[in-house]
Amino acid sequence: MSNLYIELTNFTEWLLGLVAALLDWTKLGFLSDFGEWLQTAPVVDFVSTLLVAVIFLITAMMFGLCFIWQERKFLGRFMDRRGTQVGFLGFFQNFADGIKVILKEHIVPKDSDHRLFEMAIFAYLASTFMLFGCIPFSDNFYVIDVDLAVLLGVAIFAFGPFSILIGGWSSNNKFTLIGGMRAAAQLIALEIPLLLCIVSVVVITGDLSFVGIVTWQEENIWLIVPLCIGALTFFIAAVGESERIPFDLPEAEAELVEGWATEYGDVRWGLQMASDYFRAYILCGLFTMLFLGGWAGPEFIWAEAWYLTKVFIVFFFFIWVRAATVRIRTDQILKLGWRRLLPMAVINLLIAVALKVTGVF
Amino acid sequence: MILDGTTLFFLIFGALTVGCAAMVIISKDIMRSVVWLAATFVGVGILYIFLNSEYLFLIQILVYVGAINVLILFGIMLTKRRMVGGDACQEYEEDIIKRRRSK
Repeated sequence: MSNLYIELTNFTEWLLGLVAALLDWTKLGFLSDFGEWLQTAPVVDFVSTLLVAVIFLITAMMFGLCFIWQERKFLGRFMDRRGTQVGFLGFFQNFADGIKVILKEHIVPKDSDHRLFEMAIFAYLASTFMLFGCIPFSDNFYVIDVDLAVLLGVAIFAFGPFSILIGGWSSNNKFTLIGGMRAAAQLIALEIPLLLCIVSVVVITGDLSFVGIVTWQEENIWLIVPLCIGALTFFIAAVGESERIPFDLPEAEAELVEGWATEYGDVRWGLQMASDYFRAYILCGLFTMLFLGGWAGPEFIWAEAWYLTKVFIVFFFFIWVRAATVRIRTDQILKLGWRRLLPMAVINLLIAVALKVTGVF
Repeated sequence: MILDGTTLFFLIFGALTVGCAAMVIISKDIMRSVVWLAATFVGVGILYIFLNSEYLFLIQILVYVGAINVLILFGIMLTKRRMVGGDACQEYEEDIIKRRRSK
């Protein structure tokens, strides 16, 4: 596969050339000038970048939605049932849910803080969609490939707790408030071990871009081997960070209705629900990039296919954890975050530094 | 005066940052102040991009929006307050009555 950017720049040049030729054909002076302006380098760059972003977002979102199907099916098998049966192998369940959610009425609670209520969910969803762009599929299929890509992803993640707290507060409801507080406390408690694990990877590879990290792993060794403690810590923290079942305190259907998103209806709720899976997809992608060698693999299938295979395998373990473990309490979650995962992450960082200093890598 | 693209965008984002900073003080609701404060931090971060220091921008977002703002929000939520448009917290009212009596 050739580079997505090069392909789409060629396509955009052809497309804009066509538009310019059409405008020129009208024989109107200002339209011809406009057509010439369309063919200048900045406009071509802008349009092709936009196209790349849209194509990448839709592709990544589709695989994120596949996670919902995968979870329904696998969780069904774990519980000794068949899972969803709507359409071919249950593939149409997502479409049915999506159409249902889109057709619902948009309701804003009367006593809520209307503007913040609307803003919070958009901030949350926007940060989720921005995160899609941070994870490349391969060194040819990506949106951004900057030197600080890992840091960029982490920085966008930081918007999550903020928008959740605002959303929980502005709904003006006990359940959403408690859910928002729990979510933010949990995200912060688990974010620090997560960041320390990322730091250990960065220490060893000496690179903050995903392409650099994956290239290093291709040349040397998959980092799950030397940093197995870090990989385990990262995995547990990632399950918590995506608010999935053993760590589902922020939602806690039995106690808190729907957590911080209780008051959201219609497509906002649907996208919030889907964004749990999108975030799980992003964290699986991060795990793949940092510890499983990203798109590295024998070349009989595409690099992108290797990446996606690994992501789906990591998510299988997410589902397994969900099916096999029991929920934990608030105090336990904080204890786990600060007393277990944090020391493990620090030990992992020490191992990484020791490996780097002694010159093993 | 001729404005090139960089200067124009610098002025726009600078003005937005100053505006957001003013709104922190102007807005009546403390929660909205925090949101405006977050916008100010992001604005300052964007100004760092114009200084060609992307690393500082990302750290600014990570530390200020991700940590400091959440800390402030926790501080606000853990103190007693009135629900928006609803009744005042009962204990809070009782406190006020006690204070009045003691005076």
